[in-house]
Amino acid sequence: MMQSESNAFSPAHAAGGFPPPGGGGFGGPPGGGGFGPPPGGGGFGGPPGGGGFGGPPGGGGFGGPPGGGGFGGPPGGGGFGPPPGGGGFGGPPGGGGFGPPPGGPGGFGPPPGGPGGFGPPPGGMMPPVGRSGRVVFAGRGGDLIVTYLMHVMIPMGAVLGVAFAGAAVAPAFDNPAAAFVISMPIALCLTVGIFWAALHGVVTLSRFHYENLTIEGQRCQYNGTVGGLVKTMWLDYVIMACTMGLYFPWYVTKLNKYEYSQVAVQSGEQLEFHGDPASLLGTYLIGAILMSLTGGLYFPWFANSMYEWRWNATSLGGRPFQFQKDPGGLLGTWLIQSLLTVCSGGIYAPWAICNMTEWEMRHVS
Amino acid sequence: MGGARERLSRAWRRLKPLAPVAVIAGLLGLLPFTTCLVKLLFHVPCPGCGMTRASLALLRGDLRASLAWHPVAAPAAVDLAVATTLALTLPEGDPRWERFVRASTATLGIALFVAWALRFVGVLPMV
Repeated sequence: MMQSESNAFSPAHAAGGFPPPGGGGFGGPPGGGGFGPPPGGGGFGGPPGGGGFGGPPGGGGFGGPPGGGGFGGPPGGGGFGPPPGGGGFGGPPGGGGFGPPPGGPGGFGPPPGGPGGFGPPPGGMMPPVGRSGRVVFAGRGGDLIVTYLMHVMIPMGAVLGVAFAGAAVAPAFDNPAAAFVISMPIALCLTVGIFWAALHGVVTLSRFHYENLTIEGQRCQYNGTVGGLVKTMWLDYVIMACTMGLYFPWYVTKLNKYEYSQVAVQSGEQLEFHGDPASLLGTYLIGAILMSLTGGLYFPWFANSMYEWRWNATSLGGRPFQFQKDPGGLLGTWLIQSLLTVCSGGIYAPWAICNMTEWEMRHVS
Repeated sequence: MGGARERLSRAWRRLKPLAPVAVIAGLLGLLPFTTCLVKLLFHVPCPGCGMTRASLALLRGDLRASLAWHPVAAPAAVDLAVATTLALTLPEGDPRWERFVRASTATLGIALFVAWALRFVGVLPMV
């Protein structure tokens, strides 16, 4: 029914996002200093009522907690972004930073040689710190609903509409040969349509997922496309179909590797995946059997095993992640979210997706 | 004055995830047909079927009708009242809030599925 406190602290999603292509935020040129914090230091101002102190001249600072003071940044170093309403992070101590433009929302420049830039963090301020705080998901159902309707529900609805139209037209043909000739292209289009709509949904949701993800305080950007996904994974889809799903561990390993290769982290470091599909096989088979035996109620335990396998095989710049299993904790959240999604005819799905993702990220350290 | 405002703001942040649930349920409750995917596809009630009608009966003060529609609606209302009280009273960062959310969601979820099972064995009426 309710999310935990840290979830409730998800910040308001500010406008912003990505700078125009080619522009790439406000980053300085490779090797050079960017725009430092504004005069007086870019203090990360505290919320209203809290007094955030900027750093010393030339340095940035952190704002304080509500009612409290803040911490100044190191002299000569860049700091953390502007006061609320701004956004953006200053540069590393002694280095050039990515300060905000005067009067505008802050943003991040692209990593050297990398594509695009990073928009300001949600709410124009630091994301909430979860249980571990290393990985934070700040996506909200209200923001996802439009994306979900436009890129998942409408394509799926269009494909289903064609299917129903085909089913309605087919009986009109008395001649079986004519019915076959008519239905075959429709069936082919349907198969391609369902496949495309599903992949399009996956890519769109992945984009939303990573754009709202902060890893070690670094924002992420997803650059995957439907074309790239098909090009990389088409053989795996065929093998998955031929093996009735037994290929799943190898499929999901390759999918994770592809996905991480398309994620640009603000720091320029790369997410790496080194999972062993063979080690997932047993978990997957037992999970699949228990899921079917329990009518799906085993899901929280299965999902925890999958999360653990994935995160324990993930690292950023060589620093590994760890997932703390808590199937009992997921049970209630999952039951309520699933039920609300089913009862609302799927309308609640964006909120369910965000709540489940937020739960997962709070258990990553 | 400032304390009261801060307390309300904290309670709102804690209870905010309930807002989409309330809005969606309120809007769908106005429709003259079911939106439950299980009911539409398989013609059997889902664990949550009857909750809207039970809640409406509860708002009218008809506890008997509410229990008949769904036995979990009344406990869920009590849970909501407790949650609102805790959201208002517990200080910022108090671990008891997270423990309460975790326990109440798990209990509520399990209760919904138990009630659902009881419908199929004939202990509770079908809706």
